Amino acid sequence: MTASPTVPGFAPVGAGALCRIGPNEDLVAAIEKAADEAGFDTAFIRGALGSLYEVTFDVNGNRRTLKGPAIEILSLNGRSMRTSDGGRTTDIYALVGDVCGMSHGGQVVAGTAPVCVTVELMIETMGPATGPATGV
Amino acid sequence: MDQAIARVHRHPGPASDVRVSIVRFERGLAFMRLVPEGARVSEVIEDVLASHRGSGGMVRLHGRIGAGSFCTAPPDPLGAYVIRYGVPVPVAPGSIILSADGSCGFDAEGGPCIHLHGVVATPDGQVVGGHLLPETCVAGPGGLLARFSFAAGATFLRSPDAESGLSLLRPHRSPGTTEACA
Repeated sequence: MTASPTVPGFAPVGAGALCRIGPNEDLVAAIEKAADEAGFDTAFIRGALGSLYEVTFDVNGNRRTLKGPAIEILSLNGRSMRTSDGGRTTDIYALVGDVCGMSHGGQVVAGTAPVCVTVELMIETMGPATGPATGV
Repeated sequence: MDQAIARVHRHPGPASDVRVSIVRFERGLAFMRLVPEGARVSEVIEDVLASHRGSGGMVRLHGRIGAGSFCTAPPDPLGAYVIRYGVPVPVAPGSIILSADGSCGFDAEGGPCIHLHGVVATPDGQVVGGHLLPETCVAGPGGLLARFSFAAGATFLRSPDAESGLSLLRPHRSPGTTEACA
């Protein structure tokens, strides 16, 4: 193979966590748990993929449930933030593929998105990097 | 939570007590690679993993794709697993990867592992996607841009999963590595 060109530039990544969520765990609750265990008051999703058994999306108050299995997570974005009462507010937005490969999306309603087989994700927090920017 | 989970499902094996595995890292690095026209996505990711032993993380891709295929995961007709990947669906020539996220890590022998899901816009206006097969995905004109976000001292490792019966990626702290990637 021809060596892949390196695109100029890089950026430090601050503290984060690699995560794996097991079957039947609710996606939103599991992201909150991961953020708690990592010690992140604020956690952003850097990347994620996996499968859901089903999911309910909310788009401006309109809700729609997609039944699986398996619904493939194609793109996942969002964040979880600590609230003043010690709880969390979490907004997760997903684009998923059904068993025919067609795409669907919206805001994931908490408690409606059990993992089917696995979800792998990387979360990161906002804050100063703890080491030299070029340390990797 | 404003709604209880409606359904649960049973996998063939015993459930692990660890439901959410996490490995925190203190720093990492984001960098870009171009998958040049005609190159396979798998080759570029494997090249990156080979030069970052002990580290892993995520890659996000977008751009024109010359060829490729993806799978969806219907229920396993034989019932051995909850799901089983179906026959690969070819990506129409001239399609664009709108976004694809991949987990990058290693297997038990140190070989590269990539788990890639993505969504593709086809020339006829459809937006489709699923489990992309990186060894079949070839960059089209202009290439594919790959943004890597790698952790220092942590990676994904693939190992057998008793619960699902499949081989899956889990986060691990890289043994014998310092915080900086090798």
